[in-house]
Amino acid sequence: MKRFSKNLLLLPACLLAAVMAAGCPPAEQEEEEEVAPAGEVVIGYSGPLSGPAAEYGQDGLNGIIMAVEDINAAGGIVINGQVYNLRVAYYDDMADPTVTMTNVDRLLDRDGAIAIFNMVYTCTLPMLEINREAGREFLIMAYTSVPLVEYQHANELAVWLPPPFLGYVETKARKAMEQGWRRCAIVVDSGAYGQAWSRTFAQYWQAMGGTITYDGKGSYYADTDFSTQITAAMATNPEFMLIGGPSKGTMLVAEQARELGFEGGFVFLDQAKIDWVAAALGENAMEILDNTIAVVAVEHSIYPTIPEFTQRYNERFVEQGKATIVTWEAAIQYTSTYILAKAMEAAGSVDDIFAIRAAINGVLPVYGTEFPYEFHGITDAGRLHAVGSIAMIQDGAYQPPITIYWWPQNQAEFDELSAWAKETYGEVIPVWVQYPPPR
Amino acid sequence: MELFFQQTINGIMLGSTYVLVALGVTMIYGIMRLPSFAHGHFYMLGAYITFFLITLYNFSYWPALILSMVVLFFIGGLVERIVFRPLREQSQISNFIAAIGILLFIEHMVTVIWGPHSHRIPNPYPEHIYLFGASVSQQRLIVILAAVVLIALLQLFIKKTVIGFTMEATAQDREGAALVGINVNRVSSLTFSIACALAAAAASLVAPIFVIVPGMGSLLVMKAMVIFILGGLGSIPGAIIGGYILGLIEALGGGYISSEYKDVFAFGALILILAIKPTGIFGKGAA
Repeated sequence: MKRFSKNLLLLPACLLAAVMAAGCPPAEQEEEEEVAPAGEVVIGYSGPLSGPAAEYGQDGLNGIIMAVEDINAAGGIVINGQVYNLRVAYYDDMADPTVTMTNVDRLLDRDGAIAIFNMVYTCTLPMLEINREAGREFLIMAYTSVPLVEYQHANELAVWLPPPFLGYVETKARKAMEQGWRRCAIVVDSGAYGQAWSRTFAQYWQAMGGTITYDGKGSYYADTDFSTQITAAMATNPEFMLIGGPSKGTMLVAEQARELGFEGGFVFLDQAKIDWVAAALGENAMEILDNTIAVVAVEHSIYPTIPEFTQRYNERFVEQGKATIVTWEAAIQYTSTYILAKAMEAAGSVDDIFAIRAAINGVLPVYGTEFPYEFHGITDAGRLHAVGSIAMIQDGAYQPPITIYWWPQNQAEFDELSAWAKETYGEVIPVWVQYPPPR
Repeated sequence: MELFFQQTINGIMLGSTYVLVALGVTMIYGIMRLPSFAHGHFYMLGAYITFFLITLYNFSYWPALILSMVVLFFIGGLVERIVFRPLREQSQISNFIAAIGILLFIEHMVTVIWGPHSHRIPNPYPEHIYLFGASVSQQRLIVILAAVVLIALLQLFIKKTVIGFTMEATAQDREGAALVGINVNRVSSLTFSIACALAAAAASLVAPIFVIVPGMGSLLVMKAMVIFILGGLGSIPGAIIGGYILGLIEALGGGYISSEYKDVFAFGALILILAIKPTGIFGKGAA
């Protein structure tokens, strides 16, 4: 009896220790070693490179690495005749804010980074608390589509890269209404981002006259079987399901819903990539994804630069096993890195953080005719005027994408932008979404 | 009623993988008194091996699954020989630390070699069929049936073969077994091997309906530990019943009460059972 109870006590302790061990910070990643001929400017990155969000983090890092390589290959940046090469220093944080903060210290003190990219909302938040300490200032390049954070956490040294998801929420809800759908079941990721998304969607949907028949959650990062939630959702007879979180989980939910006999449509959160999901589903993809509304696949983008970018990205990362497919994360981080480099040149400094941040306004716009993504400007709160785009799969084919502009302040500005887009890219279906939303 | 039936099938399918992994954990504990936290990672390794056999060497599904079991059988034996046997006389905490070490080693090795992104085995049986109003994919049915077959084979092996007797004898009394001439080292190796092969089978069975990623075994091994404690440490019938019960608790609790608390139900069941019956469902009181 004695030995037994000792073992029994040990086990929960072991469980706990295993959880803790799994959360230990791993050894830092190798940095890109390069001998600087002239000066060197370090761009930092902290993001998930292992654990369940690793693929997402790696995609974003790939975009930065590719931009830095391209900029250096083209001669680096030149300030007052002095040439500087860029270097990326990156560390894995497994999307754990505590590790992010340790990485930030390393990036500042050991690597001398002037700007730090981060891709996870909950990890960016603590960074915002410390990036303005005198003598240790750094620029935060924040990759989050959570809306209004740039107002709630106003920070003059932060730049918010992707479009706010309100544009997607409203445009996707309108598109779903157009299909005649009224009954929506929610099976989204249980994390902060997924929940913020689904709550916002539910508000818009109900305001438009739709109903929410079921509101369930699943851990898209950890879980693989969602049949329980889907079965419960289907029992409420929805016309479509709002699903999403990371692409991997989204793919499983869509596939399992069809296996369970669901015949309605899907609306994806903007985090889930339809092209990734389609590739993973294989030959039945178009059947499974029929009537899906999602962020447009990169290859169906209106930007003429995309085919060349995709080809180079595939050679550099996909063929090396560093990515599955080119993603918007990569395209957005690539273009953002270019903006940062241009801003340093415009500011005439590689270490005056305030001047570099101020110079960003002057280097915009950058367009999809030259870059794989476009930013038309920047709001006073620091969010880049990033273009959103959605598309729907119907009858086994991708429908033409809808382009979302959220920064025009009035109809005239939107009309002007639409005219420009049609002139530049030909077939464009522009929509205007007001942001911040009118109360 | 259809809803209930559908959720029950969902639960049994979930439980099938739990049982196969928990059986491995239980057997290893029974013979070696070792909580094998790395077991979820052997499971993951099994899925990767099946994946590469199918995609790189054009194996068809079943031969790949069996070969993957064979490979994991040898890897399991090797790990027991290299890592755990030298630690036999050490305290239990050394074994535990070694298990965590293996877990981290396998996960990071796989991440470095094959990358952090997910892979998929093409589903060999993608059609779904209707059973009394519930929709089940063929592959899910195969998972359920294959688990039953493997459980039955394992029981026959333990109860009807001489090697099985030696395993049971070693589990009951290691020193006594050694005294009557059983090679307990060989039994330990064999147990570890069989447990790893079972994990490979479980992973290969569900790989076509799920995805293969380096972290796929982390949550599963926690569930297996719950089952292993729930069923009574080292009890094979306990692991089987416990696995199905946990699958059903998750499916029915998640479906009827709240999907948000699916894992809360699973781990809550552990606390509840330990409070009511500290030795687990089939626990005998003393090891």
